Order: sequence, then structure tokens, then C-alpha cells
Amino acid sequence: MPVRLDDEELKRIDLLVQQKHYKSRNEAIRKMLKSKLSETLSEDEDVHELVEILLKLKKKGKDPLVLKFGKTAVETVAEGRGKRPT
Amino acid sequence: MYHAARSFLSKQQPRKIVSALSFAELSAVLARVRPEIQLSEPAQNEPFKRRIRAAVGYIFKDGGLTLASHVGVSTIHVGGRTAPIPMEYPKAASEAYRLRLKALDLLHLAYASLISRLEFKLDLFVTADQDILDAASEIEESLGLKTTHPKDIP
Repeated sequence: MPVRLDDEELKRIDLLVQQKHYKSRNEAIRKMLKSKLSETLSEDEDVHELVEILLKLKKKGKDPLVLKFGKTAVETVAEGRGKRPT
Repeated sequence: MYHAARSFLSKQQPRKIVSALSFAELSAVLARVRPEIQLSEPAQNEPFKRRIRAAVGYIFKDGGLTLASHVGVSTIHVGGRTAPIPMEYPKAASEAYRLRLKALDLLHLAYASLISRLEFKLDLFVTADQDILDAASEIEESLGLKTTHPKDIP
């Protein structure tokens, strides 16, 4: 089955071959495909329906996600990066 | 800052690309402010893990964010061992001496540099992080990335 890839995708595959992660384009594509097909979404991560419900509520003018930070968002992110907010 | 970020996220253009690291960081921030997250029903009744994931999914979709995909691996030789590791790490390490930023900042920039080279051409690296903004000229010189605060986006 022929597969069409654009220049950018081929460039990325060639880079991986060049770096000797794969012996050839063929092997790279086969292994990446195999790896992708073996991945499954866990139940915890499959929140597509929930997200769609939240987006519908937003369209109706509601605010489906409310974040009440004790600090500002910048402060909270800075804290996680081990630095003081500026 | 809140209004600048909100305004930036509400714009359809330009296209907003987010790295896997930002995805993880957003999940971490939401998890740390646990009691303050309020989602509408039925999401509010879900277990905490799913609520966080739903909030992240909602923020991505609502803000029109595009998640960049994994960009590859590099083989490094260190401590007598040769190992394939995600490309972002050696890239971050190689820029450390010049930029002298903290590890997470270097990783964000390394991700952006690789994404721009291999997946989506990036025009701007948008951040409210003062350490990164202070190093703007060195970052542009070494990685070719222009950095800006969300409030400075036209």
C-alpha cells in the first residue's frame, strides 16, 4: 500500500535515519507505525465527551471552567518552576 | 497579565503551538490548585484525575491550541554509556552555558527550537516568564527564536 508523505515529514524521517536511530526510511516508518498502533488511550485520558459538553456550555454563554487561584496564574506557574514571580 | 493571556488565547490567529512540556506543566498547575477548580456538571462529579484531564482538554480546545508532536531522539555518549534520549534534552543541555536559565526554561526553549525546525515554523515564543524575557536577545541569537510577552502581541 503506497503512503504519501510531505517534504517536512520526509525531512524528519531522514534526520532520524541520519542519526542512526533507524537503518532506513522503510524501517523508520514501519517501527513508528508499529509503536503508534500499540498505544491505547486509558479510560482516565479519554475525556473527549466531557470536553465537548464543556465547550457546548461555553457556546451557551456559561463559564464551564472556573479557576479560583489563591495566587495569580503567573505566581502559580513560577512556583512550579522553582522561582519567585516577577 | 490575566487579560493579556485571555486576549491572546481568544484570538483565532496566529496559530498557537504548545509543546508536550507545556501540556504537562498545565496539568501540574491545575493539579496543585485542586480545591479551586470548578467544572460544570457532569465533569465536576468525575474523579480528580479525569477532571484535570478534562480541564486541560477544554483549555486546549477553547484556546485553539495545537499540541506539537514528539520530534525524535538523539544518541548521546555520557558516563561511559551511549543512550538514545529525547532530542529536547541534549538541545537544552547544549544551550545551558550560554543562556544560564533554569532547567525547565531551557527545556521549553529547546522544545520550541526543535518544533520550529522540524514541525511548525514558529514566529514567536510567547511567555510571561521574566527570566526568559530577560534573555531574549541571547535566545534569538542562539536559537533563532523571538520571545515576547502576551501583552505585546498586536
